[in-house]
Amino acid sequence: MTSHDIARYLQAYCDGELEAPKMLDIESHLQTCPSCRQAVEAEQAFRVGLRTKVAREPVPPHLAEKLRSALTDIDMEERQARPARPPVWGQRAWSFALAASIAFVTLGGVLGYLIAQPVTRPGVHPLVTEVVSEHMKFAPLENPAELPSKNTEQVAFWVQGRIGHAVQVPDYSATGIHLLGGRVTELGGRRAGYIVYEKGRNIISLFAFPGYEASLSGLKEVQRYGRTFLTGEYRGQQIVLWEGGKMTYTLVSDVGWDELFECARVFFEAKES
Amino acid sequence: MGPDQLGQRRQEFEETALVHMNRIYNVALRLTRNKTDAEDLFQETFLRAYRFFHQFRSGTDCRAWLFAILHSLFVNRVRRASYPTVDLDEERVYREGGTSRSLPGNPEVDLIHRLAGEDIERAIDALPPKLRVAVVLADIEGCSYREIAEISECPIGTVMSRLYRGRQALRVALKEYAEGDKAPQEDE
Repeated sequence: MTSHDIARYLQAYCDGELEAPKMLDIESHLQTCPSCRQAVEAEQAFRVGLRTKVAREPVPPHLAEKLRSALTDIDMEERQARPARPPVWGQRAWSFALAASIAFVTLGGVLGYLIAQPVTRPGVHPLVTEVVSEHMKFAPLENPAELPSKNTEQVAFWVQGRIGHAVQVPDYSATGIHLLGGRVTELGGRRAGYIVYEKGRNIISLFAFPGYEASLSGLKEVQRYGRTFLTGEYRGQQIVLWEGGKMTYTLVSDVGWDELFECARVFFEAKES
Repeated sequence: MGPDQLGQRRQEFEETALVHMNRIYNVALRLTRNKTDAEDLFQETFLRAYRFFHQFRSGTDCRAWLFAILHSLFVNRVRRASYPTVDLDEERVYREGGTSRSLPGNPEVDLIHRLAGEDIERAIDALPPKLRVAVVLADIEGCSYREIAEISECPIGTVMSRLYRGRQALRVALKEYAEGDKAPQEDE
């Protein structure tokens, strides 16, 4: 990989749109080429600048009101005009447990990446097996992130853009845990953000997806910092799960319980500040 | 559809689609470049989405689905020349800033952070519509290439090309604005 090649792939690299092998080629070139590193930083800063400088306006109240009133008119028209017809769109989107179990049943045969491990274990919720499998699939890679970035804001924006929900990407650098970047995955049949951190040679995965289940089989409830967490171990990995802003956040790693709970504490500290 | 099903659809629509009102409104503003047209496009997007909500697959990304509806309405309006000042043809002459794939330097980073938000919005507004759609969806809304390709109904390679050219054109425009700002302003 030369600087000329980097220029060719610069845009896709900074957009987190390259395949892993190409990404790794670029990563290794960047380690030895300060001018390309500078170019990548410039490109990323350009994107951050664009996004943060463009004003976002809330929907004017009169417009939202006008829309809701027009929707009611449509309801009224259809109520008068139509006979009963079964809904096609099925279950409520946010019915997490149902969606997860349906996805699990239908995708049961597709979850082939759980090689050499059972897909389920009696008493373990499918979500637990899924997050651990995702973590174990990517943790061994040289660079597990689709979007490699040390910038928490950039990763949060990139993930939000791909899963359609705002996610919190905490900065753990003060505790020696460094952000590697973001991925997008699927958990319980829905898109989920996957934030990758590193401590020494250990990978810490933070998953974020909409919805929350107050209890999941295989995890037990633990109180810390005046909050409720669900914790457990599966396939040698420790799991800490909590609710944050209508989203479920799940840490998976074998780095140790103290580190994981410290990450959870920093998450809430950052949220409240 | 019985009354219960209608009520269920409405609730579902509130939770799945109307949560994206702000995003749809802001994209409509960037595409149409004025509030009146943006409000029309916003309203039309959601009404169409509501009528066709049975076609939306639960569990998929509703935001991308809404963007696709908004985009098709916008393109139709442009084609019908509702917006007389815009030209859909992305090949028209605009300030592209050269064709070399040179690596940008850090002065450009300082540049974008030095400029006011209005200048950046003005530069985005000046892009041809197809490039504007790509830049707004990627850089303001954070959509992936695949999503933009599906929304715009074009190949991923075309999305990449539009993004590249859109961003290059923005750089050139922003540089010009910044150089203009350097001139002494005696009236102030």
